[in-house]
Amino acid sequence: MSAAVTATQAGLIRCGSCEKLSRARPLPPGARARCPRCGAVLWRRKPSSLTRSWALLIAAIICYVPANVYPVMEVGGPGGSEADTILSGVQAMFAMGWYPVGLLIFFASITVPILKILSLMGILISVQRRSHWRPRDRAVLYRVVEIVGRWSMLDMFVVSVMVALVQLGVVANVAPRIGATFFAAVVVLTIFAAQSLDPRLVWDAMEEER
Amino acid sequence: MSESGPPSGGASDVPEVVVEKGRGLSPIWLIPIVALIVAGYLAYEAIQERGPQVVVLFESAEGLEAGKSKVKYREVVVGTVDLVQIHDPKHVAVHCSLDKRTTPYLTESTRFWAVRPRVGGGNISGLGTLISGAYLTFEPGNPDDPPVREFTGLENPPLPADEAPGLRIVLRTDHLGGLDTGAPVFFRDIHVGDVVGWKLSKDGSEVEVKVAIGSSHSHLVRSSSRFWNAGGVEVSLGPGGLDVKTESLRSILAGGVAFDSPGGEPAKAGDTFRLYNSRAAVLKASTARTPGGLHLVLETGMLGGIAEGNAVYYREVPVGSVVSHELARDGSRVRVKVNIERRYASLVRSTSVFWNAGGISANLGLHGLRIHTESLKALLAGGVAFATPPKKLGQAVKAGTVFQLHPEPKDDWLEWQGKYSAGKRKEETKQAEVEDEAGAGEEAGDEAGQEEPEPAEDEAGQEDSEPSEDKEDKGFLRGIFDRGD
Repeated sequence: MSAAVTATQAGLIRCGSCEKLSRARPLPPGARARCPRCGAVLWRRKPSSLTRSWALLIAAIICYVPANVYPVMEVGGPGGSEADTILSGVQAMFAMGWYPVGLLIFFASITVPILKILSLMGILISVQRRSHWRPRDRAVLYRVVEIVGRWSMLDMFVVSVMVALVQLGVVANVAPRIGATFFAAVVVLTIFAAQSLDPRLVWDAMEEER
Repeated sequence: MSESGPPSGGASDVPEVVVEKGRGLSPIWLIPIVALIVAGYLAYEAIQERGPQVVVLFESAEGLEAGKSKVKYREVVVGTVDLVQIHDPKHVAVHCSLDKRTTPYLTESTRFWAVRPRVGGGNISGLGTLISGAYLTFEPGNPDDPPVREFTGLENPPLPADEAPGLRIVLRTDHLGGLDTGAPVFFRDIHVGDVVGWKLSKDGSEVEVKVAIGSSHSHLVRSSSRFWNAGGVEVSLGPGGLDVKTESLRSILAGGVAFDSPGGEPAKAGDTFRLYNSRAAVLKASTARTPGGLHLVLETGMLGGIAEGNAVYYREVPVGSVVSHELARDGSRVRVKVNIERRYASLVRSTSVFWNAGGISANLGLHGLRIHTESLKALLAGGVAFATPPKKLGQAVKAGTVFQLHPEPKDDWLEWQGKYSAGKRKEETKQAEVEDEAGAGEEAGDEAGQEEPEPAEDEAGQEDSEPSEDKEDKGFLRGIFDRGD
């Protein structure tokens, strides 16, 4: 680790909004500090990072079930309508021989959310257990999760564009179904969960060791 | 603490933070709680809505796809096909999950069948299934029957329920004659109903055709209604020229049934009617059956081309028909049964003579060539004619009276024609029938007021017939060529 003294060790705290460095002092439980210059709440690490992350992540996991069980989109045609879940949509793509599209949807809508949830859970658990295991890789993983997160919205884009464009009455029409709502919730919740997790916590465990 | 200055290297110059009281449990936990409640509610609802699972056995699962095919009741989706698999070498099992509202109707009497596109007999149904694929549907069973979850599907849709609106009647016929389910039923060329099904009678001797008449037209069917197969085109070559009859274009393709209703009580559901093969058959049958018609027996040595349905002519006017013919018991002669329509019955007297009017009789005599035929129709089809001597009327005859049927008329018989009336009223009736014929008016005029024919009448009548011969276009059909060249 670096030889330099960390801000925490120096008893300093940086304001998240105006970047002013101020001197920290012990706080009574439940109290919080404000920036002396701009009045923003100050935190050494993101406030209740683990709690928020966990709460959002658990909500995401709960939503993940109906997102996959319920249909996301209903395609209506002259012969009646058919509702597709994400998985049955992928199946249909494969059945039609559209392997690239099927793979893309499978990757963006099924693989990515699962990996995201698992990655965040991994980071959260490792931070809580003050693990020393591969901190650098975990940091990289976190950055990947944060960047990739929004790409899961691809599916939602597809659904919303289809719903908007394919409104041909009896011939063909597309309507969103409850699964889409849950899927969007999963994506949004995981993005927030990743955001409220402070990656510096990974390193804190390493620092404490000293 | 509000004092803020530029950070100056040492931590000691840096001001202290402001301390604020905390707020307890983080409200962030509301998010997973809300998610749990919503998802839990959906799961609960799904379990609540979960209906019965049924298995339907079919011989073929054509068009049924697991996960896609629906179960519909009156075009409302009430379930989905979950799984299609082989049940035994001859059957496939179609597993469906149904709406829980169908539960009370899934009993022993429930019947399942698959709806597929059906094109046949001019009747196209299930067109939507061309695109959507087949679906299953069912007829609800009696809720009182024991509930069942495994059914044997029908291979063909059942006949529409008998309680459906409209009048349902049964037609019996020897041959189906191209009729199929959905074939139209016409009344005066108006489409008033449909053939809804057919089956062989139990002993296989007849076909029972089920017909549904729309409720707005059901009053048209009466106890005396006569049904005939109106399919295809009926072409007849007759004295009136080529006659083409068809009910509608659709009936040419799909077959059809037509009926008329001379009268009688309104029919009840389930009434049975005879379905005739053609309109001609109806007319033939109705003549034979007309109640009160005068039935006579003609005896002859040889049948001479007379066939069932041939007309009986009086003054070339058809007044009856040949009902049947048979050999006498000892085979010595042929008995031809004829029926004279009731209104013409009084034309037949005990002195009447009958002859075979079929064919042409040509006589080359002193007066030149004489050709006689009753009518073109009789020439082609055969027939019977009769005449009554004007001088001795004789008695009115009773049904079953036996007459001799002569192979050809004698000259004086032909002369009797047109000179006898059974009474003024009858003459008027007949006049209406024959008013096309030249001289008819004059005949009527001559005979007006004369109840009994007199000898003088004979000559007058002969004179009357003279002008009619000038009308040569009618002459042939009049049948008598009497040129003394």
